[in-house]
Amino acid sequence: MSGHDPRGLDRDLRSGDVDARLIAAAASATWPATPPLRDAVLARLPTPLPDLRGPVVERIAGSRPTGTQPAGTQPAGAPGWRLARRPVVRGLALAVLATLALAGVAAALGYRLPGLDVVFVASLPPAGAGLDLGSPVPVADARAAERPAVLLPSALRSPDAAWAAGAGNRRIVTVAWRARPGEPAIAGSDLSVLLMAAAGEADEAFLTKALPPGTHLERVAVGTDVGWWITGAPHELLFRRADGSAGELPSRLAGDTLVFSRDGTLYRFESALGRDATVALALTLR
Amino acid sequence: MAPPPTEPVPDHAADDDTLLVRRAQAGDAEAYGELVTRHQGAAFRVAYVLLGSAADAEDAAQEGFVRAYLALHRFRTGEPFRPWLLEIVGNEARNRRRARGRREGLAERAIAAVRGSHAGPAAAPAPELEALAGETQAEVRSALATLDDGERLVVTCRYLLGLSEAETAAALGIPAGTVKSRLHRALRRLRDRLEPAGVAEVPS
Repeated sequence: MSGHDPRGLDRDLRSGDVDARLIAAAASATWPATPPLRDAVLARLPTPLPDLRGPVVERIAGSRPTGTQPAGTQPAGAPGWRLARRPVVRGLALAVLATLALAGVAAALGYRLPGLDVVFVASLPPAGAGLDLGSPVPVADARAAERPAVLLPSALRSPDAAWAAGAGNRRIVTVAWRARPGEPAIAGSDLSVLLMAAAGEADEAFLTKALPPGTHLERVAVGTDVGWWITGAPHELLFRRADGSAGELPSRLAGDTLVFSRDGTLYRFESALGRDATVALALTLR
Repeated sequence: MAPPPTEPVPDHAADDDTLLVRRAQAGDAEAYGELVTRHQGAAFRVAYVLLGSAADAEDAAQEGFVRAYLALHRFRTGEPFRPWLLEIVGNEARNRRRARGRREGLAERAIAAVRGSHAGPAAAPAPELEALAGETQAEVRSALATLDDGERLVVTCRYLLGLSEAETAAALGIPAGTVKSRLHRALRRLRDRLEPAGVAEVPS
């Protein structure tokens, strides 16, 4: 190959016909058709889309002397920034920051300051934030796709949050209910129930192979369906897809779990309600 | 969603990536959709080469685009968008490949338990070799099959996918210098196999 080579290869490597033959092979290569991703991606973005320039604009605005901010560039939350620039408030903020920094150092060194305890909390952020369950979606969108066909327990109020991950037959939908006062919460969260759904079937052989030591599997009846109540250690869950391949539902929390399938959808209930209450809940899927 | 009033609304066809990124950062879904459309081919093929399954590649590419959007506020304006995107897609594909390897091990044991057989599935050919299935490509395919995985992936990205050196490094998660050295070694090996002995090189 002669002339300009965008790959910037050594001349001796370009001089032979290897280059030409690879380029010819590339021209006639047959790749799987690229699926149109635009709509699927946009459907998974948070709505309304946030202005991601905000933090940058705020940082820039915060570094400018008062009065030099151009018109029309006032970021969201600007009143808070005006407040923060007042000397008294700024002084208080610095004092708080200094205290926190001192406490952090003290905690790291194993000391305690008089009147100040540093408490490390293992719980996760509210309403499933940080659980990496996919992209947050409106509940209606989570249920809109043909697969998985997601039923929700009519015994519960509307879910507080929903997420979707994956595409097509491999889409996984998760919905969650926040624990209200008096309701038991799944350990490590403030959720009372987490429901995952995927297109596929529960299969005991698949289930048992994925369970680590320390978990207990108990077969239960969910109406006319066979289900499994899994307790003990956090676990991944293998299930059988319609094409026979294995799908995976990871455990995000450590709650007891009810698994069963109905009409081609695998359901995974994670709750702190106990076996009988969770099964009763599953019986109300509509 | 309409773009913010402080920014012009140029014809999408004339937009470059930088402008589209700026508009997407401002919450313009159409602009990000245009970026997806522009780069979905490269993203999907990179994921396909790393995963060997069109369905898995679609999932990984889609997830990569979503993750890229959520990280868009960290994108440095003025930098090329595609290497940055391909790094995210490549990471996603490699994570999925690792998870799949672990899962398939479990699934094989589960299926073997159900069927009473321990026979594992035959190893699938590399996806880039499957893409060169035509008779006229047989010799190139055979030559590529002799390369180790790292070298073959670099050749695949550079030649078969047409990625730049920076894009190849980003997609494969390796330094640009490694791309260069692997490509150099790979081309020497390919030359030994594809060029008949006695062909003189063009003097430099």
